[in-house]
Amino acid sequence: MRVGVYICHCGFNIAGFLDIDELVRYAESLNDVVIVRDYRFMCSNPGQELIRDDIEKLNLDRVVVAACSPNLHEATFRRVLSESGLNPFFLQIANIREQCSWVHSDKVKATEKAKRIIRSAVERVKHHTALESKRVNVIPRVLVIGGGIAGISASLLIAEAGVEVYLVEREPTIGGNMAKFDKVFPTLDCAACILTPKMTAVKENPNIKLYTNSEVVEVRGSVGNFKVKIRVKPRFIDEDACTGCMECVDSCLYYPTIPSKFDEKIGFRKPIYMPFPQAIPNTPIINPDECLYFITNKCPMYCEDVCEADAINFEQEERIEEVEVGAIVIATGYKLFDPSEISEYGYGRYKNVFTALQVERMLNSTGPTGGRIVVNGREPERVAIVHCVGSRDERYRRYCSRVCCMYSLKLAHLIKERTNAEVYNFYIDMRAFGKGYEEFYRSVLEEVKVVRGKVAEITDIPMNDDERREVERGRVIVVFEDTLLGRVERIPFDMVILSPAIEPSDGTKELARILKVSLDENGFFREIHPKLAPTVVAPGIFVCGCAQGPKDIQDSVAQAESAAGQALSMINRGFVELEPTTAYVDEEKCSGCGMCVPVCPFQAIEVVSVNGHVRARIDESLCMGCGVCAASCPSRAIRHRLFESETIRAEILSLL
Amino acid sequence: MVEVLSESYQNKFGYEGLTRCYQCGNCTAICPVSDGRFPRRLIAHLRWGRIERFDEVWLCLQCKLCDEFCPRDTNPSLAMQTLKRISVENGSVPPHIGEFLMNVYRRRNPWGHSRMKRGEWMKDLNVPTVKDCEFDWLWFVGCANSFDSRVLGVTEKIARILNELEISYAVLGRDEGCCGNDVKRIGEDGLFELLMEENFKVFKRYGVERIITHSPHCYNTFKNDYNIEVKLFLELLHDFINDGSVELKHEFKKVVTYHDSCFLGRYNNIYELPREILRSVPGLKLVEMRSNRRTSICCGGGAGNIAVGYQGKVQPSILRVKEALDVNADVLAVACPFCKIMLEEASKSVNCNLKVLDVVDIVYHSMYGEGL
Repeated sequence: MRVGVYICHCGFNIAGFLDIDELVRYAESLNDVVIVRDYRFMCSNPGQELIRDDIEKLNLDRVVVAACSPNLHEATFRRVLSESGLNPFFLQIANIREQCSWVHSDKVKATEKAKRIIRSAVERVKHHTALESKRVNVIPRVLVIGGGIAGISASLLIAEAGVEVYLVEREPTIGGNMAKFDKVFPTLDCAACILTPKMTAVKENPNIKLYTNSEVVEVRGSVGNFKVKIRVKPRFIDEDACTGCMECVDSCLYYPTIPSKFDEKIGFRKPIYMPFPQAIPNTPIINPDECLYFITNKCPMYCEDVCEADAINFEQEERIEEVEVGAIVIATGYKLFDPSEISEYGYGRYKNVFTALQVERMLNSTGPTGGRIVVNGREPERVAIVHCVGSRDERYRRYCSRVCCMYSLKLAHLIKERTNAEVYNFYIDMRAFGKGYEEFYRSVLEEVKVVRGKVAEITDIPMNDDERREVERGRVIVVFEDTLLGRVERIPFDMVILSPAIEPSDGTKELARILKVSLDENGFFREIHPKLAPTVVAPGIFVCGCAQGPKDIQDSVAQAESAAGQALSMINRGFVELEPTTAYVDEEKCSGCGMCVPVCPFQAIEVVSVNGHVRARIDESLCMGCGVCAASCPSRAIRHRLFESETIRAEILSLL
Repeated sequence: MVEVLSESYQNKFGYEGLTRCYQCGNCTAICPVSDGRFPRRLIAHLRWGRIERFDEVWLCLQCKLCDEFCPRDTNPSLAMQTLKRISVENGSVPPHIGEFLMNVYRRRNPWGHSRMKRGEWMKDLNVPTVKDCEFDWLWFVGCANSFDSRVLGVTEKIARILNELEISYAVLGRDEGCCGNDVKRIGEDGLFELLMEENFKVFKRYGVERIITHSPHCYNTFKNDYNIEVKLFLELLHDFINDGSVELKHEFKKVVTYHDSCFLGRYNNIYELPREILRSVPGLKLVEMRSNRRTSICCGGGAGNIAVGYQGKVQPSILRVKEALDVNADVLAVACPFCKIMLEEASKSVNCNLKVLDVVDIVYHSMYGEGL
């Protein structure tokens, strides 16, 4: 065998710490190694050229690249091999950066470790066999999960390219959290004015099949060929027949006493309701857990009487629909952190304390107060807005929620505009990083007070007579240190608005389990590379919007369209190449015991009859090459193409 | 004078968590005794390594309330302790703390009573000492419970209960020293090491393996600094109430509110044990003050202030008594001799009918129908 070893300096990343000359000398002494070269950046064009030349001139048949993690450049170097006429799997990456130079403090010992890593890669690569990639056709349809602004943007872009989209939304309407807002920063556009045309476009686009009040319950298959089950819950009103006249809602004899989820529980609705007037589909929904017909079976059913379209149908039942798609876009969005966890802020205890989303609903002209800011029945004269509620807090959520600074400034501006109240913003660090944001911050500074300091406590217990009078007026006292003045203050406020952390939507964990993808330490979907593949979660599965991490509307839309682009690119190519690094069954040895079937996380194995004998069979288009089956097989009948026992043994022995 | 610390000095006096602070001011705003100049501002100084003489640091009672409210796990109370260590090292300690340290150094108690008198409280009681019997448990009585007339009654009651329950215990008498808990909290690490060494010698001489104590201060340092097996007397009492060995027969028809000791609560997470004991007393109605459990405020007796009294403008003991009066309590129950001394004094100074009683006082009354 003729092995070439290529050692990358990676600038100072490797060469600044390991003794490259020593590594070269060492690699030259290894059996079967015919050439060793080092270069500043092996992944660069000239670096690749070195390998290409050598393969041709020195007739190499195996290549080891000692460089960074295979996650980064294995694909690059495999391509170099295949362009030079060598099977791409005759390559092994020796990771001397992430697993060596970056993580050690003793240069001499680290160089010794790097030698072993290179030696084991050389021994391993000699056992590699030629593997061929397989092509699989991509089903030209896309599933989008979540109908907020991210899901809507992704769906529209894909559908406009002529590709069919299934858009699944858990709530009765699409629009997501953005539909709750009054205005958006920094332009102060009316949220509904820019969102509702997009919602209507979804409804009208023939390429989009919309499932509201629905959930994804099962996903099988892999990139290019996903089989998806969608649970469609009954709405009890026929969407096609309904004209959205709202007569049914008006006629329902139930008083509107049920806290509305859409109105963040500050508004009330009936058991039959439409979340907001521009909802899509523009059809009310009946909640069977609240409707008198379902609970008592004794209801005059006025709704049915008044409906001229005959759209009310109490017989509707839940159904499961199965669809097949080539790619999946996750756009499940966010929910707010529950600030009642922070007992010192008294959310839920004081009538003066609201979340930012509740105030968005108050400001909205279609909201429960018709756009008026009301606390205890009157307009507030002094309002506090508290940033970083639960965000950047070791006790609750450690990360920055990214949008709170800006929406808090926006709320400050809107409240000032509507009520002329005295508004205070309490911040720790002001993060106004986006285009036009700093300018917006500057203009808001002219109308509100901005205090650097975290609110320590919100209380209704007075310390003196002045405070007692204020509390009796229905105010609460906000305790904080103005850290720039170095002074502790207690100021009475009519209204306190908390800007809570953004956290993943309910059901995110469950969806990750269904899709077999991983979440990051904060519970958001984990992208495979934060910079270079920020929308890719797994082959054929893309993420966008707040499901990937807190972000504002412009970033959500940009990322949604990026995810749509990823899906369209795949569909336009028409096929995907499957890694041949899968498991396979040695039918001679297989006893058909079936131990491997339940351990496969991808449901790729079944037990079938082959010439009268039961044998395990692996569907290689589903196999992701994790190797669990190979490890579990009692008769060692399952093997992994790139991890044969001999290969692993050679690798380990040469490491020791 | 501004002194920028060298790196080695900073390593010596820094602590993990200092760099996490984002200067939000929660600690300063929540501190009941802060004049606005600490802890937040001092953490910024410490982080810079700019150490001036900060007299305000001695207003800090090391009660850890700020730690509970810190969003960054910075532990501002540790920053205060660190600054105190630097002051002690530089010899700039205010007189009232100096007196405390001198008393502990010379006589092994905060008040400067004669060491010879440590065993005097048991003159007329039948209390076994380590010299004259075999024992399972060492009862470490503690300075306050040995010397201070305001809590001697509690000590006597504990002795009677221990005898009655036939616990195999003994006390050290004259050989008992100071546990050093508060010495450590105010940063006199040298003296603390000395006390600890001395105590370990005594424990070894008499074969002490396990300790019971009623003082949360002793309990804290034995548990967390000495790492020796230690049990609270209240834990013992709780066990015996539960298994029926202690019968609470007599009614105590009073509205009682319980004041959490910092060293039981925030230092050792013991919030419910004293409350459960109080709830098992027949007739007793337990109410909570507005700051309770992890948000409870200090009595003002911590960090060396027990000897001369707290020197700050705001007396936390008076705030506490007012809180108890706000919930119409007849009795303010405590589980720490320092709390009892401080709060009793405060209750007298605001001239109210609030009685300050130890949990042991209440249990004793319920057992024997006397002693109040």
